[in-house]
Amino acid sequence: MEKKTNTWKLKEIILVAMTCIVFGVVYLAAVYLASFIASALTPFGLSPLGNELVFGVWFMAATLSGYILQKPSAAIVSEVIASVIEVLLGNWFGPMVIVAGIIQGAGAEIVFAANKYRKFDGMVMYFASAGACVTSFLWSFVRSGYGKFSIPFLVMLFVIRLISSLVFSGFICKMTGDGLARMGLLKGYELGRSHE
Amino acid sequence: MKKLNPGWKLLSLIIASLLLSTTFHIRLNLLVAAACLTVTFCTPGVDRRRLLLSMIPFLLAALGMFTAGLCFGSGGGTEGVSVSAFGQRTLYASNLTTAMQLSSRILAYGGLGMLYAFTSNAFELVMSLMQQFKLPPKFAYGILAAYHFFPVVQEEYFIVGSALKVRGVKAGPVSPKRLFPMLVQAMERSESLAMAMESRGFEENAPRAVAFSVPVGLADYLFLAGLNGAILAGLTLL
Amino acid sequence: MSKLLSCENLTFWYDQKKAPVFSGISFSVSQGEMVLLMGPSGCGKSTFAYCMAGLYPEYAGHMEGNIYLHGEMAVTGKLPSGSYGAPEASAGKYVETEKYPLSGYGPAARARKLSILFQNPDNQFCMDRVDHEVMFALENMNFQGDIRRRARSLLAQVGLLEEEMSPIRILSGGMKQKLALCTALATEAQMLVLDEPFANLDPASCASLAALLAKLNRQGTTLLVVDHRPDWWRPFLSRVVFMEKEGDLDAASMSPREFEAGKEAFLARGLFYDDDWLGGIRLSRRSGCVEETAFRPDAPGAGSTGQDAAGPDAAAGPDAPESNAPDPAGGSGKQYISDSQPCRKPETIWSDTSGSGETMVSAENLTIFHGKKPFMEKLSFQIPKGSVTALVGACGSGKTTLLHALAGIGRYKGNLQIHGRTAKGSLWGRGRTAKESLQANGRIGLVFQNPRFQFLGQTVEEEILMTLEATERGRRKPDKREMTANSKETGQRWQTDGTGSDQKRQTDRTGPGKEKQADAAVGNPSAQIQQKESILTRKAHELLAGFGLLPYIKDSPYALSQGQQRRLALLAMLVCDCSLMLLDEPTYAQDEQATRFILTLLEQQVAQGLTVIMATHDLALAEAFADQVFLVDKGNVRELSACELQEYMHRAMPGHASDCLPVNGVRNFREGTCCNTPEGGNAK
Repeated sequence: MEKKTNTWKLKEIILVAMTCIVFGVVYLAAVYLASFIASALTPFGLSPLGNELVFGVWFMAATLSGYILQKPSAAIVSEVIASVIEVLLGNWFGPMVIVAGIIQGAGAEIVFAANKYRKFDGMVMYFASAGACVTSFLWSFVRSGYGKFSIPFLVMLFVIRLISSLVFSGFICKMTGDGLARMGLLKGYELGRSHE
Repeated sequence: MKKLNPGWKLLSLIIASLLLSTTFHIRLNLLVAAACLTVTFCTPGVDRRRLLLSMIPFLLAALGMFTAGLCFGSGGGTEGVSVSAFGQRTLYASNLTTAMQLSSRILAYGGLGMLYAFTSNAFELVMSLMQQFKLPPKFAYGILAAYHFFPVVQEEYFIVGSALKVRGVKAGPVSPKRLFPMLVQAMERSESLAMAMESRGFEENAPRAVAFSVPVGLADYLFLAGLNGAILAGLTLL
Repeated sequence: MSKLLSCENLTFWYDQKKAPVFSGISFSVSQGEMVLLMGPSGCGKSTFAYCMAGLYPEYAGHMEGNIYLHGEMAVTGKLPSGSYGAPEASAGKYVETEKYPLSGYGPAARARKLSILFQNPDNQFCMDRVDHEVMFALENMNFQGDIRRRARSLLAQVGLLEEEMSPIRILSGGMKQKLALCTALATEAQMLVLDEPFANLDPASCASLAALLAKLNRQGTTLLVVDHRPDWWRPFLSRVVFMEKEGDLDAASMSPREFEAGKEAFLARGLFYDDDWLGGIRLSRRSGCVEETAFRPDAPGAGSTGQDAAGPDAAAGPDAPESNAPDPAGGSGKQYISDSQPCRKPETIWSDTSGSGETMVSAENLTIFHGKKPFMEKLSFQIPKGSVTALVGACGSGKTTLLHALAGIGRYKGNLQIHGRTAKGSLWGRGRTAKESLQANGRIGLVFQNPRFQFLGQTVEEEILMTLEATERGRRKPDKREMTANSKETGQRWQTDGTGSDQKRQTDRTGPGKEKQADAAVGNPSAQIQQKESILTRKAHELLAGFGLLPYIKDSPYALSQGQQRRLALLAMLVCDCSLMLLDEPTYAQDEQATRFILTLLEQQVAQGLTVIMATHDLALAEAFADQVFLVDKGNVRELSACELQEYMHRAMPGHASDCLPVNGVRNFREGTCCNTPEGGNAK
């Protein structure tokens, strides 16, 4: 019988990596759509909104993995794996993606840690997504220079990012995780066990 | 460029990006962007057409940031900008600067990113991370294994789309209807892969031979020092 | 001979709250042997193999009992003293060597002793290139020396040297399995465990892989193979062991000499050891008698405890097959007996089973695109209604692309008419409106090779209910003329249902009447809806029962086995009133019983007007089941006559032809004549 351990087993690593690949493909499709919106909004100067709309998809891999595996460092390690994969795939943001990944993962990880890695219900998931959103937003100040925008605009950006995070990496991830567990596919992982 | 050790190259570029993000130096950003793109273009063996195509996303993003900076920049001080679509807008010098700062930074990052993406090989990067940066093999090979399945997963994404169409069901790109079959497949695949890798003798702490060694050389350190030195110089002198 | 791997009193549970998969099993394999472990699908033989290979319970489940590896424990990584694989004692003398529990071995040490090959060739490789994969295995073994050179010599041993630099993705199934075998050789395993290695392969690959394994066995590698057909293994088999729920498996071992005598033992377990199982199918196809079938998992081969009762009843509709002489060998009690009846002349073998002669699919000068490039050009063919067409051809020849184009999800250019209506195949594949899609797709069903991509519901029941509801809604669409025609057909097709759906059938039949009914119901919508729901639920249950899926209605579709998933996908398609059913590799990874079941179901539907097109690499199946066979080859689609098919089969299955194909044409072909000797019997 398997017990929950804090070390990463090979199958867990591959699971996280595979999930990142799945979300990577999904993200490509979502970004395609978003860039249409962004381009349409460019003349109005609202182009970054397009980016913010799908920002939540970035964290989906982290929150879902954290939800399924429910062990310390799950969120941050999966975000790092996700960003390494992004770099491997030749993402145009380049090497910075890794730094961004660490910071975003940390946001979610903090929330999970605050719950001592024991509570993993809906509220925690939403908070984790929000946490990732906050840290990533702070990072955006550094990276993209959000400090140069006017305050109302910033608020708008933040709100949209927050909604996107809550919807994508909070709601959809939780639903997906629960769905998978209900199907009995996660017997080998913590989420499946806690569902029985 | 291509011969440089990928892990160290990555590190150099990360440090470079971090340095650039400390201040807003328009001219330096643009210079970095131009330099990177030129080097990338001139590197032999690079697919130039693909490079041009890949530049489109970040050019668009830079443009987007430009207009956003124009409209919503905070540099204007007390004189607010009248926001009316297509309406008249008085441009303040400080807003233009803001816009330039933001967009030039995107261009710089894009340049660095392209420089990396087009001169490096994924496989070598992972090997380098494992050999030089002490990434445990299970992470390295796990990531690599999943990465190799990317084209397969992409195909599956379209197959799922077709399957749903055949049943007359519409599903958005991120909808759970598409996610479920793909994730189920991902789970099964990850278990099979893990089992297969173990039956080929993959063990975490066992001594392993190295078939694909990625060397580190003087050129790598020079690159690290040179690139970042130049940026630092640019920051102070320009 | 000395033992190599053994287990004592082994019990395994996937879920400790439920019954164990097997309990108290003991079994042993000696060095140099080639043991075949047989059993029908779901009997636990694969689970057992995984336990013996050391993968379980690490990856799933809970195990009790002991598994031992015999011989010196490989601690330093050096091979045991003595040449590996050579029997340590002369035949007949039994030598007990030291034994160590399998759980004591780490993966690297274990890989030196035994290695496992999986059923699905696709998900076994972590690298992108062939040589990298072999080098990965060598790295794991801490191979000192020139890794690259060793990799090349290993690849040469399995015959993959030309593919050294190829990406693994583009390899065929057979080549992938060979690569897996190569990596097992890289670890220098003394024993190989193979889990249904031929399940997903085409016959040519099976033959070459079998030859390779035979060579390895001769050189001393021990083999433990799990499979449900012994055909390929017979030439070099040591003994056959049947999988049981408990007890000592060795006791019931059977050596190849005892096969004929032990035939009942095979049949009693639902196993077949040659293509006889196709006999029943072939007979029923030729004679047009359709068997009534209910799924009885414990009655092997008795799927055809046939009444022919369904025959005349089913012929009530206008599309019933007609004009075929009834089977002289007698209609009832069609067991899978060997084809003892006279081989008919070619003209009657490929008979036209659709009485109406209506054309279902008509293509003229069709160009099919794969991505943006034209893949197949200038195609022209006709497919009559109520017939079964098989598409055969090598992997990647375009069968799937063609099916997708017919289903409306691929891109094509040219003239394609389906059911008399021109299907618009816009160049970008996106030209259809939603309404058109519903009309078109509601009538064409496509079951993918991997059926799990098509599931939408949370439970099996929901899956069928959803489609029923959608079809209901589709029926109420304004196109009255089409609807009446449509519902008449479906009404008849589901005639053999129980009485519970009488009510529904009534409303089906009267197209325009239904509108009136719906209007009248406006005053009382919720009651009507409830009534409709319970009717639909009952109907769903009936349908599921007919397909043998009733015990699983509350389970998720993903929890079913592959065979069951395929049945579910098929049912979901059938429920949407389709008149054209496209199947992509329906027998992929299934044993005879499951295949037989699906074929019988399809037969019933075909008798009532369904047109079936299936892509398959199982040539024997195509020959037995299809009315016409198209060969998809080099961008071309060509109909094969009976003789041409025999020739193709003979070429594709070189070592297999003589003993297993009961059709006389093959032997005659080899003697220079073709298909015209009416000898009876199947002399082996």
